[in-house]
Amino acid sequence: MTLASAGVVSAADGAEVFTEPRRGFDRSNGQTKADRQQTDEAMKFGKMKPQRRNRLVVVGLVVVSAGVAVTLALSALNENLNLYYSPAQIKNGEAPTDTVIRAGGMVVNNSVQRSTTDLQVNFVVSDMHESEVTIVYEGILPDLFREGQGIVARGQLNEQGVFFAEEVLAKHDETYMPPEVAQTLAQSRAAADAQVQGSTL
Amino acid sequence: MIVELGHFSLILALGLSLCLAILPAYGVQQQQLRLMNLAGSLSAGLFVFVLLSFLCLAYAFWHDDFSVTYVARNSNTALPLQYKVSAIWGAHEGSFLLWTLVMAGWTLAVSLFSRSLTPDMRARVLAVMGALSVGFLAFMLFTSNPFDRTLPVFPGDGADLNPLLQDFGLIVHPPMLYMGYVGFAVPFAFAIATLSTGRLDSAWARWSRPWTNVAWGFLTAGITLGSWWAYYELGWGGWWFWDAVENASFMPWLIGTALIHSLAATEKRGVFKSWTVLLAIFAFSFSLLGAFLVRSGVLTSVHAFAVDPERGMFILGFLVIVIGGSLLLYAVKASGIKSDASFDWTSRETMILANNLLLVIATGAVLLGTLYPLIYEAMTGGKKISVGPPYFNAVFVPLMLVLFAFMSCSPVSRWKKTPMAFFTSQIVPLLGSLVVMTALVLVLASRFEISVVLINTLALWILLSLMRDFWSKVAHKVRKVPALFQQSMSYYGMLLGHLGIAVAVIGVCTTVYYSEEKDLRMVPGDVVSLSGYDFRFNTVRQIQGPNYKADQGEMDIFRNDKLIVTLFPEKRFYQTGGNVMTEADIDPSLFRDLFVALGEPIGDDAWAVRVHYKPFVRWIWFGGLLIGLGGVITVFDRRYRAVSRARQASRLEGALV
Repeated sequence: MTLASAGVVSAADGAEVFTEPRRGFDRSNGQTKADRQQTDEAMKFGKMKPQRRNRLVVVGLVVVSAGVAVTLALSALNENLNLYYSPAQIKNGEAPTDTVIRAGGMVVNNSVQRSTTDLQVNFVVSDMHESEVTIVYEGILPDLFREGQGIVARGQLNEQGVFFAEEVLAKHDETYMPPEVAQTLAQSRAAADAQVQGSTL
Repeated sequence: MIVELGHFSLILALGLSLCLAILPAYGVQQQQLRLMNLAGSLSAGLFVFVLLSFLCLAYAFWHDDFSVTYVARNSNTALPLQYKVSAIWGAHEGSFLLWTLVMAGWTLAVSLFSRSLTPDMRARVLAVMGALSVGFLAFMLFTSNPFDRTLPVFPGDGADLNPLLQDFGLIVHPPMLYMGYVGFAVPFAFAIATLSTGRLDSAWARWSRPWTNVAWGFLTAGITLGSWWAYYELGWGGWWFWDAVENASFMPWLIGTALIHSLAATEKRGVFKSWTVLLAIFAFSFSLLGAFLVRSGVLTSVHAFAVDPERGMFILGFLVIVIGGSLLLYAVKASGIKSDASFDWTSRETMILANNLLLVIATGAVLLGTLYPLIYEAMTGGKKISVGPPYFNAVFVPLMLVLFAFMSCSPVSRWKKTPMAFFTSQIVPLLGSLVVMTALVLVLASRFEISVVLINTLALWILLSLMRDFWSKVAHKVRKVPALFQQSMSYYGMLLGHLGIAVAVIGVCTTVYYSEEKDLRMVPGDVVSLSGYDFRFNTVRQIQGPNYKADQGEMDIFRNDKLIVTLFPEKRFYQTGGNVMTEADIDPSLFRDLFVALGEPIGDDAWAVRVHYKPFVRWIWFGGLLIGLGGVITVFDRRYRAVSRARQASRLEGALV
């Protein structure tokens, strides 16, 4: 809604620009000369109409362009939102397949398997409770990608529940935990506490 | 002891800033010249004590005083000296001290170079800046004191500076950026001061213009340096990511760009007065919003400092007071403002209006994309989303293309009214650019891309229009060569700024469409071909750096079987923090970069390797620096000196009356 308000603000200004039709000889110093000129304003009344029309055109253009921009922005936004799903949600079938989403969790120890011919790599992320997702990625992993580290991946889920990542993000700070992963862990921990009073963890 | 001195001078500085915020303003109210004139010495005092405090922190870093928590977290005995110094602003607390120092510096500069202002105006401006300093200093002392100690038991050695920050980029990027961010406090203070007098004339635009241009120039340079740094250090060859924190610096830049143009119209023609004031308020508000986004941890970003809700709340409160207060003042005072002049829709005023409109809409679009994850989370009760770069590109790029079309016509436009023939004659350079670009792309490029032709045509059109305008200033002169050097600095600044945009656009467009990259598995002896270059992976050896060990690859690059360069990308392991870092190696040149980075060892002597061919990528930063330089040189315009002398004379007259 910021866009709309920005547009309205400029629209209001567009109107302000034309409110006082005056002869503008004062090139440098606005105040004094302008005040002197205030008197011959009445003479310009005849020119008011085209000015008004101009003002309408400007306001119209501003509203239309702001409207177009808002529409474009919102539709682009809808197409480019990547929702985050936790391993538990993916396991329960809540995540859509063949749509770009994000998934994350802790990389399970000893789960990283590399191809011997190209850059493909498979690993498993977990919510540290019971849900896990296998992620397949082809490319160079970030420097801070490590087993036992929290990561977030962007990509698509297939029918078998395997996540094909286009991008893997591990933050550039070893103590940093992606907020999504932190939330996932907290939720799964809460679920675990509620289910089994102090047995599995 | 030194550390306590630093802490103590911060407290003193807070006291001085309180005085600066209150006494001159009270003096204005009581019409006491002595109180108003206190503003100058209070500004000087404020600067001296913040500087002292900064130097004390520098001393603590220099002497590895790990009893200071901030030093222990961000330094290490093995850290090279230049990084120990730049580590001062390597994390939240110290970088905010730098921010405050820059603020005090701008305040001092205003007090020194604003003697031409009337005493009450000067007092008002400095009081507003003092009030801002109160906020910054209080924030630092109450939530993020860099001088906090870990006593009595402190670590024997520091945790080391994040290796990503151990780079030349950290030395230059934040100071430049902060000069820009905080510099917008000056037009903000002028705007508030003028609003508070209720006399919003064009004079305030003339006062704020040089300050705004310089601040904006620094911000441009800061963003450009950041992009360059990200490219070689962080980005695996990317130079802009639409990351939340990049956006946080980009939004004030966009608004600032609108502001410097709108200020020009207000100064020269007395139009858009209230709108310009609003832009000045928003430019600084966006700077503060940026600080909030970076320092509160509400957004996920590589730049984000550690999450601390208390800090977030403090800045949010400050933000609300500053933005809310100034908008309230605006609402009360700005309604009576009237434009002094009318203009035709073919005028330069209209061009500037279009510029403002497009830039503000673009800012709104970037803001929407940046904050949408927060809004979405709040609306859906904690569902997390991210907004990808495609959103920003889809909205931002078309807006900019329209803006560039206006930009290429703006040099021929005139104030008040432009003869239509001026615009229609612009078709010639447009067609010329189109033909030249089509030919260039057909002959030189690996494949024909219509988008490249069209966008670069726009850039070339901008360039030709500037040249045409420059020529028109000279053509009627008898001695043409001296006339080339006799234009005003403001004009040269405009030329450089617009030229920089054209250069950067060519760089961005060409690099986006013609870059090639490959990620692949290589064993020593393997050769990969990319855009006519052959990259031969020779070997990987172990080397020892000052505070790291590294695997250093050796890559020979051939073109037509002739060796061009040997690159040495590294994979560094920093012992202290246990961090791993990729250090790419680049063969830069004007028309193309060759970029090689080592991924990780993947067994049997094999390495994951990334190779890039990036044409024209340097043009992006070269263009950015030109833009920034254009902003800064306008301050040397003779006009400002002349004006200040004239003002001084009129002030004397006033005093005599």
